[in-house]
Amino acid sequence: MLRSISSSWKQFSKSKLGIVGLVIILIFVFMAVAAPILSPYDPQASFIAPMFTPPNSKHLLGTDDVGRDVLSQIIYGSRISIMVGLLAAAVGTLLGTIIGLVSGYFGGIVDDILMRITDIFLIIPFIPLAIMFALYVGPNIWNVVLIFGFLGWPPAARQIRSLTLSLKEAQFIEAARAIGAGNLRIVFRHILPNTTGVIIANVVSRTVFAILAEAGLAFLGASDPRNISWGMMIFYAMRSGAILYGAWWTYIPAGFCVALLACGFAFLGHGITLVLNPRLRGR
Amino acid sequence: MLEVVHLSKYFIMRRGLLQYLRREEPKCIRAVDDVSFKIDKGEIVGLVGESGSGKTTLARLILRLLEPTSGKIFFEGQDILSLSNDEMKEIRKKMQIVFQDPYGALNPRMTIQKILEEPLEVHSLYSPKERIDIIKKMLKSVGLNPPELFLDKYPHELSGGQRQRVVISRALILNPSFMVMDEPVSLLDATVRTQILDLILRLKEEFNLTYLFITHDLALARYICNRILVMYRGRIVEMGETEQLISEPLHPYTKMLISAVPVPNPSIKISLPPRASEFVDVFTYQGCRFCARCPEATQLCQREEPPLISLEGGRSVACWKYK
Amino acid sequence: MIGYLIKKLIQYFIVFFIILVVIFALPRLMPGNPADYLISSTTLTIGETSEILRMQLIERFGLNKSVTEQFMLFIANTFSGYLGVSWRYFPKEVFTLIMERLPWTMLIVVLSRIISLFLGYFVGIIAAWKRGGKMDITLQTLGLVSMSLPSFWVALVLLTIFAFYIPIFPLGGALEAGKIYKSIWDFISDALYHAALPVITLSIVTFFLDALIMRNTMLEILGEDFILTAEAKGLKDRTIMINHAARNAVLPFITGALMSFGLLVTGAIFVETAFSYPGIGMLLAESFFSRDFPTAQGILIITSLIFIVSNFLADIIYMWLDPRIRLMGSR
Repeated sequence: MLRSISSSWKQFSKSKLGIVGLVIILIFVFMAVAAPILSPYDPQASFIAPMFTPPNSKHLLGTDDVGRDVLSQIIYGSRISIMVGLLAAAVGTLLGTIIGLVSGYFGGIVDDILMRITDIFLIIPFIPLAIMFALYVGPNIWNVVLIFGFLGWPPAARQIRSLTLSLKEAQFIEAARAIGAGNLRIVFRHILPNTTGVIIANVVSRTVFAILAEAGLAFLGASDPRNISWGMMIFYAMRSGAILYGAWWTYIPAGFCVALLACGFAFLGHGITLVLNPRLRGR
Repeated sequence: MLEVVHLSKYFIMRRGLLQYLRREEPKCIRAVDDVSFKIDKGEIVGLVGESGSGKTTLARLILRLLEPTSGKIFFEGQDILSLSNDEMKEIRKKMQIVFQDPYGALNPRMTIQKILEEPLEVHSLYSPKERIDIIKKMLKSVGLNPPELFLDKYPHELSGGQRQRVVISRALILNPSFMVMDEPVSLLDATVRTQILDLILRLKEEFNLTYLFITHDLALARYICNRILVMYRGRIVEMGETEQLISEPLHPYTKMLISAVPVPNPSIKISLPPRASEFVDVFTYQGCRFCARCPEATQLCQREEPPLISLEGGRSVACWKYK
Repeated sequence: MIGYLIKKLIQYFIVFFIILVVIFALPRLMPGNPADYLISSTTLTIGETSEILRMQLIERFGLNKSVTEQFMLFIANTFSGYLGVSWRYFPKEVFTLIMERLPWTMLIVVLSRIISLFLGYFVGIIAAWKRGGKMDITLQTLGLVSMSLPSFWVALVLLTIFAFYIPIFPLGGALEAGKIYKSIWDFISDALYHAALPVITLSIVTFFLDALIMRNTMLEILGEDFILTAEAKGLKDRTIMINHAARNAVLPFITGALMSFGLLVTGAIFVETAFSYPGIGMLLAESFFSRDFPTAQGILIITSLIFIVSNFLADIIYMWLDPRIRLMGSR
């Protein structure tokens, strides 16, 4: 295991973008974990300075419409973005993996039905549906996880299915059946471990999507007001007319963080694809 | 030991929605067609034929990795096709298979130890500690010495020959009495090939095994087998004792195969048989399936398929010439 | 060929149906009576008395009837274009409301699509021509970056720079409030002036991806035989590229672009909200705030429809392009 990881790492480390992405992600993860230590002020404490105080030595990114420290909010906001992004991607990929495995391994009518359903889910408009959902259930960060988790499985399902189809024909699967291994054992011991690369790549690429979606919904106000998130900060800034006050620091840095974190995952995904798909390396 | 009776496997080609709606008959490929033969304890029976002749399908049917369309398989007197999954699992301990491609036959994500442990785990044999000892013993007897060196290796860290030894030891670890060797050496380098063949022969004596040895190489079959079955497009066209069959082939196809074997004396000119590139319509043909390539074909051959005719000396041949 | 289209059509119909089922089921899956639930959450935001609302709801959902009947009524209403009455813009019909707003969304989406596709087409050709070159690598990187950009943030950055600090564009809206137009040209130029920043935002977000699609399509075609033939005939590099590959890449490129059209309509929600641009995207955000359920539902139905239609159009072009599918079924 260790050896195969180290050889994958060697491949990955050739991708500069991949490394950059990883570094970006690690910085944000550190920020999220060490938020209480890193943030200079309580992010929820209002009027620690006058509203819309421009960036200065005490408040590096100024204050928002109720006089909260923007930098502290940004540091804490990384928690929601990373958590929601990864969780939504993980739920979607998990579902997709199960569906793809079942579909590819059992084939026949099961496969037909599951793939038709997948085709359907591929063209459901996510964002409006998520907004509708939030409208009924109330703004809540779990909405994003649920909606994007439960609707976001088709890409993973497709990839895992086609991989399973080819793995199923592998001789080591036949060998396993010849020694008497049952379906469960074959799927979990033989097929699943050979799909880890695709699963990781999928989680990463779906995370980009989920981070943007979470920020977008929060920007529309469809996220939990009790949690500080980058999208939420922009939402409050817009509602208080920050643009007209020229208070760019209340929304530009927060959005920049969304873009940077999403970028980090996109770059990481790019690097992983190179490891998985040696054919692309030359290009 | 093993008896196969009128065994057939047809692969049905999937119909599209339109064909389905038009109620078109599904097309099928007869990969194995009405095959019957017997293998006695201690024999090495060769199954010879070109690629696409259905050898590998037959092997998978015998091990019940594929369900046949019709026919029966008896293993040690038991009709294995009627067995439930649990009963079949017991039988699997006794019949094993060695695959052609030692690279594909090993899960790239498992260490050698894990690979060899799996059969024991599946059948809940021995304690984890005993398993290690058995695995080590097994690695030694297939010539992977010292075993400790190999336990933690991954398949891609071994050479082709070493991998094939692992494949063989995995098949042996359940202590089977019958093994299918599906072209076990055809993908190996020439030097490794003889080593593995010798190993296979040695293990047969050591473990008291019976082999069904599949190969496309008649010379190899001659070297190893007591008896040979010649297969052509899903049917057995000839079978008999090795020496008899080689020295005095009856079926035109067998003759063709023998003439294709490289002759040590280059002064003898060999006429290569035409390849089966002109595929006869496999779905609708009637008559002998070797007809199109047969130099001795008659009207009768085109009309009707010859049955497998038993001759004296335990030989059989499917050709109208011997009726 | 017809068989293939019918198959696709059935598939899309099922998608649409499922979306309708979801929309129908959502309020009914909430605890309590849907009517009471909806009313309790809306009486605060609009001034109507709850009795009128209740009548509205009962009419809309047929709540006194069985679930099956309610569903039939819902389906019948939807297919006849009746999507209920907006609660925020009471008593305006949702369908009318959406039709008033839709042209604005279409204006910015279509304009940005044209700009992005046009630029992407040429940049894609150049990147494919100098594959592996500096520009190609930059394009690939920027493609990843633009994929990660939140469109509303790009909108806010542009707004801050080009409307607040350097006020050359308006801060929002689709037309200048209260302005009386002397001519149709006057009207068009005002509309375009207001649409400029939203269009630029959408174009920035999609341009790099369009260029990448073009590049990849080109590379695929360049691998094909007839390009080799052209090379064998001794045609020059540039001629081969432009005359053969680029021409053949047009249709696959447009197919890809059409597929993303629906996605862009959804993306417009954020951009419109950022620019307070009165399209259906902003209408959805508004209805979210005023808890205007019928309007939100109507928009989901309409956007789904746009999604499906653009996908179907892409299918038709794709089929026309791919002789393997064209021949299918004619055998």
